[in-house]
Amino acid sequence: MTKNLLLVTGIMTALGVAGLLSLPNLSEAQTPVTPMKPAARPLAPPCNTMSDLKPLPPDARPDTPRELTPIDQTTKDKILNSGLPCQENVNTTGPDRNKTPLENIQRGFDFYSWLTFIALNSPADGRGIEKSAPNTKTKWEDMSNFRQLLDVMLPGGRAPKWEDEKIIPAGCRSQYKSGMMVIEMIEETFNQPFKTGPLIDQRASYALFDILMNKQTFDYIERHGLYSKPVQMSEDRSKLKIDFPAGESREIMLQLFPELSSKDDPGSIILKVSWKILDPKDDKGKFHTVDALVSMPRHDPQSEPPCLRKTLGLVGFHVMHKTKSRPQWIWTSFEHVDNVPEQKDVEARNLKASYNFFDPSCDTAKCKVNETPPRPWEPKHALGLKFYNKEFKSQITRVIPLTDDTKEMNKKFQDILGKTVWKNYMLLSTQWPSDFGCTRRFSDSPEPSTDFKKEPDMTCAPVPTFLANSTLETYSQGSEPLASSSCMACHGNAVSYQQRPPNLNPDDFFNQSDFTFMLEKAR
Amino acid sequence: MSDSPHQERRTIAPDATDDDEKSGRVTRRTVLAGAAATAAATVVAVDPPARAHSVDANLPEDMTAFVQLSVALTGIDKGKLSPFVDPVDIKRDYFNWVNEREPAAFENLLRIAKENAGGQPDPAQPILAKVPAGDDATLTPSEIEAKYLARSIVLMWYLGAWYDPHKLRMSDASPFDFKVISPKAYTQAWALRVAQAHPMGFSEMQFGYWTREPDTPLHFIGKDIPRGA
Repeated sequence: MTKNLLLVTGIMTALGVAGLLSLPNLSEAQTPVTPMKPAARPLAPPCNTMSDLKPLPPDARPDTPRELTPIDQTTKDKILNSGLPCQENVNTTGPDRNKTPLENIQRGFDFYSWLTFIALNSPADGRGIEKSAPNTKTKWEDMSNFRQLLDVMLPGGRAPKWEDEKIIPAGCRSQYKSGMMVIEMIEETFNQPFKTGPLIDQRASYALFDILMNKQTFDYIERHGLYSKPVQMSEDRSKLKIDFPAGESREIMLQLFPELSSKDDPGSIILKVSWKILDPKDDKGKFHTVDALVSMPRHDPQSEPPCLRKTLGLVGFHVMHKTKSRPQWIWTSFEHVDNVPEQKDVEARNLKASYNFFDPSCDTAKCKVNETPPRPWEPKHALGLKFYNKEFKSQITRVIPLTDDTKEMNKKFQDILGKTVWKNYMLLSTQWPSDFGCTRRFSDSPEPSTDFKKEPDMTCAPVPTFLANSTLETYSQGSEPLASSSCMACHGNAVSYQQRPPNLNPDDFFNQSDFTFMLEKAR
Repeated sequence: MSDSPHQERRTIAPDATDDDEKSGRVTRRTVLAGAAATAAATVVAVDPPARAHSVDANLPEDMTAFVQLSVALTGIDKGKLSPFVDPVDIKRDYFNWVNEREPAAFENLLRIAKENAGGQPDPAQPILAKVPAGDDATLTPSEIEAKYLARSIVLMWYLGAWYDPHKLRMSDASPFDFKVISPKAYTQAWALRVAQAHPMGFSEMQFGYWTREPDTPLHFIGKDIPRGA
């Protein structure tokens, strides 16, 4: 996940700042209009502590064979209503002796990812996910659980409050109705990581991207003034070692680190989502949908930016979750099953009738695979959210196929999701830090409770080494070191605007933003 | 409930290093000169009985032998060359690379590792003692092949590149005649990690690391090297 959109130091300074300058003056043009309604049920605590393995009885011998937790009709209700994991619960062992420790742990992380996906996408009103309709508002779409990045990084570096009402761009106010999603069309909304280009669907519309954070993440930013660029750059913040709160579950912590006090807290969670603009020809019943207003870039200084009402279908879903045992965060990536074929399926001509971002009938000589669109990439005012070149549609394939184990787990979860739209989503993989030497020392270290400052590999050997979502890291799929998408390897480079004062020893300066590029959006 | 991989790791790659040379103390000199270590080792016969060559990266005993041999030749900790959870798995790439090119000599070296590692708390020294070394004139053809392949293996781990053992044997061969095995191998080369650095163009160290003293060699190669050693 990423060469996250939100971007990369050098490029940001040149282009990102320009993007920021082009933002509407929200303080003048926008007013809060939406009262907040608390969700009926918080995401966590209580923490979901389910594991991919059945729990052992208290008197079990250490060599007792382990069994997989069934994912079927017998456990459906329990799994679908088990809630949000605050921390991963993984094991090096499993029932299959042919599996390596890596494969056993990966299965545990993938199980965790599915539980997380289900918890976050369950209805905001507290019902179970099996009650979802395609357009049912999810937990993460509810402002009492998550806030969009641009609602936190306010114009002028103004301090946000969690209780603040939703800010509606002036141009959208006349169309806004309670519960609508509002997306502002800044460059990061349509351009891919490292500004590698937009993704254009088979209806010639831009795919849209958005970033959100939970309250724990928001509170840390708010407490340290990190929403403000001047505050980040101040001498007072120069010694801050940015360390977002880590999730923990008392039950799991007692097993891993019995010497530490613990609590039930989900810690920091950050989401990045991708949307497809649905048009009348699309089958809306196959997507999770939202009724959205897209606030377009200002093209005329004399008038408010136009605001387009669209039905958006969810096509990509990243989750970053920091936990006590994985301070490099856990990186989960889901996407819609109809997005793209795997490259090997293209070669074997084993294709579906249609995809969101691939045309099976188009010759590869004409529709070149995984190529960026022709420039210019910015939306044209007169065309709304349609790409200017009507001949061009992205022809995307998945370069690294899903593993058989992940496909098997996807099938089980999709089966218990029954007739809901959520059966149309699949886990790509979960990236996690595997070098335990990196992660075990946190308990002995001073704040930020990690040894990132001097680690030879601060990403701590990610598994899998590479991970890309076809809608969010479209153009950096593959397995070339540095060039291909790796969530941790990319985000490990993230920094803030912190500066070292001349009188501060370099050893005391630690400009590392804890694996998120969000702080570069401070204003 | 979760196992504690953090604790498990301690048994696999203990941080502590032994104090004396016999038990494998590593100095900067010995680490950097893995090939020289092989040259100083005792010469023994390695000519095996004639039979089909068959080592396989998928056979645990063969891979274990390769890792033990590599630890002996490079001086790098087993937990670093072959982590308990090994997503990169460069050892498998290297195993297959060598086996495709030098199957007979490779099998001989793995046989030495198997025969001399058993039951030893630190098999590096017993293995090194049996790897052919010394003057070529005193060695059999098979021993010569094994000697130069051992050097190629050392160079492969340290530089991520393949130096053909037959060319290494030629005294007038260009020292620059090599092939980078793969992009992955380039990023995994150990030479710069020994120097507490990283390969040019590839680093996973924290932004701004260049302003600070590097971490100890322990965190780079799994063993500490006293300053000035």
